[in-house]
Amino acid sequence: MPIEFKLESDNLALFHISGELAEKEFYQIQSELGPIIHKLGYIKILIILKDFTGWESTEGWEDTSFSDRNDKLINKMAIVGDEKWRDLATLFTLKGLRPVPIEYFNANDEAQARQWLDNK
Amino acid sequence: MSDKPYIVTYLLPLSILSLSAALIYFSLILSQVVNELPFLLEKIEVTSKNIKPVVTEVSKIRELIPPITHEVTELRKKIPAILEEVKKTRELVPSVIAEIKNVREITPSILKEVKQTRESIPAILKEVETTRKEIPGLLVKGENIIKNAQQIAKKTGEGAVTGVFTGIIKAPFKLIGGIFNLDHLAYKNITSEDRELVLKATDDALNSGEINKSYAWSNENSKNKGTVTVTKKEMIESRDCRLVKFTIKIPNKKPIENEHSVCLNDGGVWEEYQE
Repeated sequence: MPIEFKLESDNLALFHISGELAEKEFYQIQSELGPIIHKLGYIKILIILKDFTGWESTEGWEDTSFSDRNDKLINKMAIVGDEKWRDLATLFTLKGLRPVPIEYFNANDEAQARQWLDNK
Repeated sequence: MSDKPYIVTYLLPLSILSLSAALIYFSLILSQVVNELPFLLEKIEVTSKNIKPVVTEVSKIRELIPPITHEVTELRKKIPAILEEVKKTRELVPSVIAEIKNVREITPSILKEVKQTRESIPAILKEVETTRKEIPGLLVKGENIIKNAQQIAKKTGEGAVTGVFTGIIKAPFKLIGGIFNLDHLAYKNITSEDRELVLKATDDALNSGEINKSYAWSNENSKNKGTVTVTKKEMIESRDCRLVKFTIKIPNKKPIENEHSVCLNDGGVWEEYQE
């Protein structure tokens, strides 16, 4: 399963993504996450890319309405993964173009990412 | 005995003299009365003329008395209800005073909050400014990376990145450069707030893609207002450009009307065309 989702304490949503991320799966997890975020009131997101091979090569991926609906309730987003995905992941998550602080951390820096998420 | 006729002899003429004097005085007074009589008659006539409207007025006033009495009676009937209402209002006063007291107690903390918010505004504005400055660079970087991603390999999923960017940046919204030049002499009377509104209207006009649709702006503070209209799509030096018409109305001044060409730069930002 390329996406595994787990809700940890202190409203931290943890995602493990491996293999190729399919568009359908991506939007499916977004639709599940939306109600959780609204129920909790706010959320922090930690995405860990392990053995990640990229995104499914399909046309689409243009629906960014999840951001419009939920960004105000997302405190921070940290991505942990191989350095080679830094630019693409940063672009894919639209860092700097959304009101959510987004940081990319090297694969070995999960603890640092968690600390960054905890800092107010 | 010889004295008595002597006294009578003197008293009689004296009496006659007194009577004559009295008659003379009476005649004199009578003459005065006769002299004043026409004037008195005239006065009486004038007074009698005035009496008639007074009597009419009194009659009218008398007619008004019953409705006034009725009105007073009705008002008197309402007094208990009014007193009851006053009593109820009086009972509410303590709770109103308590509420005012509560509000008064909260006010300092609200003012403190407002002060803190105000203090953080410059930092927020600085952050916004920094972000705005970074966006064009990010867009350029984004396009370059998309180009690189296209070249790297399709299996990495450059489609996802280009897809997201297509959704967010390329269509339908494009940002207008913060450096858009409005420093022409013609615009010297517009305020910085006006400039922001002009830029916003320009942004809307350019990103709507519509030709000859006017986007109005109005600043209540400066009382200035205007419209921005894209009047023509054109290619200048192989660049995608638009001819934009600006009208600005400043109170007590002749309206300003100018046209400028704006073109998309390599970073996907509209900027004024400089020859």
